[in-house]
Amino acid sequence: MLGFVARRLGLMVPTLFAISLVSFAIIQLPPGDYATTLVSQLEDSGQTVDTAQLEAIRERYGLDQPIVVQYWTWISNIVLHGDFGQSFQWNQPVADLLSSRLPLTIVLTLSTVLFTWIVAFPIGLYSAVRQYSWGDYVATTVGFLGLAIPNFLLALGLMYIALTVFDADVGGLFSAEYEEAPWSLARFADLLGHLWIPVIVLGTAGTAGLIRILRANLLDELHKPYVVAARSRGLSETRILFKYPLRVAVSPFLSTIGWVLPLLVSGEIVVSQVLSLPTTGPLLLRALRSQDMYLAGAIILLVSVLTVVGTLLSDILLARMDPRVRLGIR
Amino acid sequence: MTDMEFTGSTLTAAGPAVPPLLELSGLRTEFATRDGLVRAVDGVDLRIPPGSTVCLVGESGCGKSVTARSILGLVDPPGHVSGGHIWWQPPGGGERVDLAAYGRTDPRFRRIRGQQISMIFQEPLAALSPMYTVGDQLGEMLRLHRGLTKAEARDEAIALLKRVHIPRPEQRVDEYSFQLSGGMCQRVMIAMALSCSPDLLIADEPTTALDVTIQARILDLIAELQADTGMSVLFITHDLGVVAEIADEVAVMYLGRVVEHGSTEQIFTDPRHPYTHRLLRSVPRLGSGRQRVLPTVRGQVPHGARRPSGCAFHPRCDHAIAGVCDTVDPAALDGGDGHEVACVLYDDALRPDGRTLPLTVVEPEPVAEPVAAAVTGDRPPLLEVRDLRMHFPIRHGLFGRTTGQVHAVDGVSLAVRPGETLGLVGESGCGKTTLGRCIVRAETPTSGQIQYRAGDGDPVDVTRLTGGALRRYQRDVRTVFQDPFSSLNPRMTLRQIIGDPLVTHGIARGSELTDRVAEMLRKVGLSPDYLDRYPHAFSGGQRQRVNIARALILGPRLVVADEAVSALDVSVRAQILNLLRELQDEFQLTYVFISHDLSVVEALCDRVAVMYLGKIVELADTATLFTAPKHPYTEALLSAVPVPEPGRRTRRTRLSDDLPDPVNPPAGCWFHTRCPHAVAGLCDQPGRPPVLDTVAAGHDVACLRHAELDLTGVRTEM
Repeated sequence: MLGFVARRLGLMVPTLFAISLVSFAIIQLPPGDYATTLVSQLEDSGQTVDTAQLEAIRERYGLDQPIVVQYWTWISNIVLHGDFGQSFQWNQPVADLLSSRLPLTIVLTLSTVLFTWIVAFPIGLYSAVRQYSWGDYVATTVGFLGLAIPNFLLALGLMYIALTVFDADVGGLFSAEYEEAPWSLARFADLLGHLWIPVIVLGTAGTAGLIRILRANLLDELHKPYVVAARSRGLSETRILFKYPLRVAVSPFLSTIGWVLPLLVSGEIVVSQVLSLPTTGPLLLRALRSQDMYLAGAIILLVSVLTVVGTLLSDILLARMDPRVRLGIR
Repeated sequence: MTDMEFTGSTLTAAGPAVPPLLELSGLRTEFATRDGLVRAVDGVDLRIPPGSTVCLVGESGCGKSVTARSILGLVDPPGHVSGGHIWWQPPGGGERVDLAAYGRTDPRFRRIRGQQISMIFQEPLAALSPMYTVGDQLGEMLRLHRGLTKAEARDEAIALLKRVHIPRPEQRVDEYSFQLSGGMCQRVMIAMALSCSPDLLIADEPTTALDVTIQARILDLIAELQADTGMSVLFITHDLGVVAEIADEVAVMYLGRVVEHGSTEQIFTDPRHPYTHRLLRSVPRLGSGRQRVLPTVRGQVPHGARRPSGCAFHPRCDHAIAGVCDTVDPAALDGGDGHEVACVLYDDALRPDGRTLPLTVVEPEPVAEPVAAAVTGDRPPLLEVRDLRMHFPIRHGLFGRTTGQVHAVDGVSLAVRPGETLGLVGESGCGKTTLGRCIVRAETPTSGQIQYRAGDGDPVDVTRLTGGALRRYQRDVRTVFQDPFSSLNPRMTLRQIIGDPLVTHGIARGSELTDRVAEMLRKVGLSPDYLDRYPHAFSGGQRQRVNIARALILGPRLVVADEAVSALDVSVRAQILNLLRELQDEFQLTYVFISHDLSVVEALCDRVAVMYLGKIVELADTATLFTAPKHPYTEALLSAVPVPEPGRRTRRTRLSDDLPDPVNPPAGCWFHTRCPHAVAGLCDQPGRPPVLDTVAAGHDVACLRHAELDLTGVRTEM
């Protein structure tokens, strides 16, 4: 087991390096740089910028350096000093900008994963054990609806319901009075009051998918010879179900940790716009549009790193659960 | 070990007055399927006396397994027990209980399952969960049924593993099923089955998936444990050799009914039902020599939803009486000696005049065939393998370093002569399949040569062929695979499956392709009407015919048949072997026939090569190899084959353990660790491995002691 973890950690180093290269390459992809964006913004507001000024800006932000040097400055500051650079647009350190938003993104992500598990697990189990029952058909129908409805539509619908039925203010993650307040129990309660809509919106598709996966996996396992053999040894039905086939069928649940994070970042942007959530998605969108490269790069890098860490966690859990993974048997 | 207590039945002899331990009466188990209601078990009557072994035999699809599963309520929906009784006599006296009245999840069943009646299964690897250690699954039972603590259960699990002769049980107890061999897994299953001292062990084809050597050891183990504990055994098998080896009583099943029931002696010496007759005759018997035509049971078991009227066997029966057998459903008749048979021929009231008993067999005696001219070797070989090696690297660690090599084929030299059938035998893992794959160039060998003589031209080295030359070679050399179920693409019709080689080699298309495929179907005994059907519509035997058709459509010269009949029932197996023989004559084919089944090899092959750990240890013509083997491994393989004659039940050479690790083969002679004739200081000396020596014309042996050993084969006189 230790060898397995060490091997997976070792493999993370080249992966992370590749990710940093790709993140940097992505933010360099659009033509022009922050200076050109700034110039066009200034020109829009009627000002003119001369070439010397432009060069001065480039020099100040290090944009005149060769790409390799820019990359090195960027990544070495991150690794050595935890300094993600300065956001051109906000005129703040990137680290400060993210420190308020990243934790909320992680909270939202984890809540969504938990929601997905808590809902999908019993329903999937029921659907498989009582295959072709009424409950199974209902779960299947609801599941397909969940998969088919676009998230932003669901968000709008839920907001409407929340507003008209519960008379709740549903935008954002906090009510106005707690927006800038320090953490307290009341603020936490306020967060919970707001969190449920994005969690449902973001979790529905994943839940529906997991129900289907658990049902299919469990149905495959339920009639395997080892289940019949366990029954022939006089174990109770509940014990058989929970000890043998279920243990094999839950592997996809563990894998969700790995893939739910990138899904939230990509799928969440639209939802976050609709629900005006203070998460990293909208921030990334704005940073990319204004070519605020240090901010955009930092977000892409951090989210990718979190994804890699999530994958590592799910792999370790999977290896703990399944001896075939741990012992490297194909 | 000593604290084991097997409290089994105290009765050892089954007299007529002793009530049966288990009595099935009129048992019916049905499955609602799309094709209609299938009565898999259709009124089975069966008694199992205390302390005895009852064998249930018959072809696949006759309801043997479903009968066994019905007893313990293990039939999964949509199947269910729909009628009859399963009377179980609980241990220590008490009222008989009817298990048929329990639902499959009835809590009362749980006290019987595993404690009073336990069961072992056909696929030992699949019957153990890969997620828990062997010790965990064993201990679970002990804690549940015998109330042991976790620590006690672990000690007891180790004791049980020791009892079923698993080496190093203290280590094995913490291993997982996938780390053990099939034989080991079956031992674990047996240990589990015995952990609560059951009165009845139901064994459902427990050795079918295992090598003959392992099978022999498992059968010995069951017999030994039965002698210790006095439990009864209900043994399900299609192998009549196994039946003769272990059974006290035999029940023959056909389409959900017991058609004949008697003592082993009665069934083998005085079979009454025509089905039993045919089953017994279709078994290739070790020691009967190469045979021209193997007797078979005509046709195949019909689908359960299409049960023939009257006697279900009458469409396949040689003795069927028109107007009687197709209308009268025969009842079981006792001949007065406990020998029951359900056939109208034995019913004096129904048997027409002129029919006399016992049944006379109309078939000609199998004729041993003289060695074919091809085998004498005056023609140059078709294929010559020289010092062939196939090593697979084992990779480990972060950068996939090669930490070892599996020597799957390790220096094999042999010649395949035109027109002969060369058998390759050995246990699983001996490299025979890899050698076959190298010959057809599905693998590129690590080193060595394979010289192939195309037409009259000079031989070419197959291992170096590429591109078009390789494709031309692969037209000449084709394969028939083992598993008739997974080797055919379920989404392709027979026309596409069989015609595919014609398309990929650019030989025929359109109507010409259809004509050729239809012609091929006819040759392998299938109707051309089947052209547009999908494989799922066919039985195992029919699918294997499709496989053969696909191999032959390109007009090959050499066919490598890898365990081509191993997955088939005895009667179907005989049909396919006969077909292979006919096609060989018709198309002048040469076969390399890979099999672990020695009786099949004997019936079909001209010469046989015995492989052990990637090397050939003995090569001789079939008669010599079977009657006068020179290598102890060959002797052990021969002696492990169960013979369908109850009189020849003798304890013979048994191989210890499983195959050694092929990554770290033992020093000296690789077989010395298991060889009963090994001499310390000679056979285990590194640097002196035996090489293949010619001891007589056409007889090569790799054994250091072959000159001094006097080994026994199988006798040929029957």
